[in-house]
Amino acid sequence: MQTRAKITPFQFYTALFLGRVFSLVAYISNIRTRLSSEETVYETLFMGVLLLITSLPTFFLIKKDSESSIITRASCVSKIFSKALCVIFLIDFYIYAIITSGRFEIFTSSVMFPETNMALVLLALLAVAVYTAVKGIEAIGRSSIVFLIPVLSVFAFVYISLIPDFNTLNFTPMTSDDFSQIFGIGVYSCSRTVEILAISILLPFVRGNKKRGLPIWTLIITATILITNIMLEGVLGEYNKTQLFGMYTLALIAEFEFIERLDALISCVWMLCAVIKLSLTFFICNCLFSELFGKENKLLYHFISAAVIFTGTTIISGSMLDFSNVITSATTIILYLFSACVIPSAVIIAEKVKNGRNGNEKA
Amino acid sequence: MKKLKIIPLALLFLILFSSCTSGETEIKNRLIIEGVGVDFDEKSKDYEVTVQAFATSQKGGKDNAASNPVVNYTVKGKTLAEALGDLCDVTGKKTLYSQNLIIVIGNSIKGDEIIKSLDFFAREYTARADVYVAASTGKASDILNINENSSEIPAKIIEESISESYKNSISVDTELYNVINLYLEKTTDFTMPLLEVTKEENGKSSTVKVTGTYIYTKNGEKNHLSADETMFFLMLTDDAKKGNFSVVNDDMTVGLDIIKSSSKIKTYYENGIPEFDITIKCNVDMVEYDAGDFGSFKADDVEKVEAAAGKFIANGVQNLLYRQLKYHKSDIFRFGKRFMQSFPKAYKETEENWEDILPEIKFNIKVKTNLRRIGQETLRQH
Repeated sequence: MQTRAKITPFQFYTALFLGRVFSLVAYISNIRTRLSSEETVYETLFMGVLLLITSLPTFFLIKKDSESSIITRASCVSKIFSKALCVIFLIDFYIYAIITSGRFEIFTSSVMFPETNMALVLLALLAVAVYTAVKGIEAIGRSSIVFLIPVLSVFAFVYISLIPDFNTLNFTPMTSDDFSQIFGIGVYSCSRTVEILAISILLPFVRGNKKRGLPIWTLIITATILITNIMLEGVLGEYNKTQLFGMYTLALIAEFEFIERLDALISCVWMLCAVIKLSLTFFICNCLFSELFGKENKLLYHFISAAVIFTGTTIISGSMLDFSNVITSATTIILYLFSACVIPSAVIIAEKVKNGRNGNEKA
Repeated sequence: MKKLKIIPLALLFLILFSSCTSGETEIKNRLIIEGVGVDFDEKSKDYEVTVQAFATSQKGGKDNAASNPVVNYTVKGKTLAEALGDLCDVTGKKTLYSQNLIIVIGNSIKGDEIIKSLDFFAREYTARADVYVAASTGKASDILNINENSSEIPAKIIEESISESYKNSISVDTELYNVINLYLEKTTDFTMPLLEVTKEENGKSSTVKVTGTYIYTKNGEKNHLSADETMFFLMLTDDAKKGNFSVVNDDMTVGLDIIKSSSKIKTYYENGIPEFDITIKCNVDMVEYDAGDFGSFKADDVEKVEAAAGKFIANGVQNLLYRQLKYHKSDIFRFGKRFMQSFPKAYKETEENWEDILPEIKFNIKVKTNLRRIGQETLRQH
């Protein structure tokens, strides 16, 4: 994967951060079991630790060679191995993109325009994402920086305006010694940070020191999720448990003097993050297709990806039950652990074995 | 050439992405709801919903601007969704709840029916979670039908009265999400502002008054707080913003304004009974001192007023606690939640029979009152 177009680590990690922010705001709370406020704090901290641990294989991958993608390195070991990885990653990213656009569709049809034809909205979203991806990684990187400012501003604005509504009495303590749920949900939360997978693939498109950004990125993500969870519990209390999109409800309640419609702002954040997340996915899928079938038909690859994501989303988001049946925590956990931990570790081990053999042959 | 391509693209966007293509979203085609009153007809077992909406199709102009800006509709149905769905047939317009300011629950709706009647507003996508919820001493429709022919919007006036009453510690201000939050807490009973229609002396016009606080009790018992009790309730729960009260005893009659009030509640658990230490700090300004002599207020009197005010508040809080915990067995103070936060394991053992524990709860009340200002009159040293 040789490339001339490159972005800075800050742009790169910002794009990944916005992708994770989308998963945070688009979180459908009734899909998983609910925890008490105290357990939620432990769960988020545990998720942070787990995120650091599961990002270790990627970290070591970058440490050894930060200029080649995981696919290129796999192809040095074996061509079949690299092709197999491309297929696995393609399936992974398609599933994650379907989840992303499915959540977007459920959000739009539940709280914004329930009577609008969602297929058109979805097509518009995919068209924007494809267009951004066609423009290349630089466009995604630059857009991320531009989007970061409104996204952070909206979050800060909503949270600050909700301080008067924050009540510590809304917090619920842990009433049992059973930590299994905390661990289980912590693993699930971690598995929703699919952006880690993108790091090992997009390495050649990032210049400078990429290693340093990874732990900082995981810490910022953990802090963002922790603050959001604390606000959700402190402001909404038990009501949070009843809400499909807690973050949206939070914005609905927030008001600052004469500005009473902060929910419109959070909807914008939602869309900006969805565009970045999906355009990054399209870009990655295009890279993987190029590895498999050559770089000649780049636009065609984008259209294939868009068609797959559109069809998948239309099928699973038909009803809430279908969505929750397909998007189980087990599906995302297995996919994440396999792609973020097993595959990078396998590549590192395979490289070592091959280098060892080469060394022996030379000796 | 590249720039020229933008022109047809922009035109295409203008045509395709217009928000008003169907006409349904035009303001004149929407029924913008300002207030909703929910009653229950025992005979037909139907919900009777009174809806106050903007008269959007009314013609403008100077004369019309002074006329009634709202229209009231009454619809019936087995569910709120059915009743409100009928509004479209009646008006030919699509309902929009995002501007709804208040939901008034009539006295015909009791117990868990209150929560059931709010479900629609919690689910409806255009409704807002921060809409005020209030109870009426009579029919909810009477509240919204008040001054129907005035140029003001009744729902807006009621919303403002609730907000002002809360600021003056006469009533609570309860938003939809708070009602549901407190309802879902196993041991807490939630409160709502209580509205009443009062006839003017001339008997012709009526006004809506916030008379105190309605209490939803999990045991279904009828319960409410007077305006005075509400002040003590808000002081106890650290929600009192302002307010005023008078202390009348043999030595003095004093009018005091609350400037700032804060409270701290510490939870203890001894011998299987929860215990609460309540400390209330209150800053007050003296606005009236009736000793029959101007300029007679002495430095020594400051302590007397502070002590009398402190005693007045402590007695008020104690009576409130006694009435609610021991008589009504109602926990509007979130003592159960406080106990849960401090002693989660002990709480788990007692949550099922919390109502039986309420009368046994021990509480110690301390009130520290500080007289901040005495008005524009001088303070005599001797």
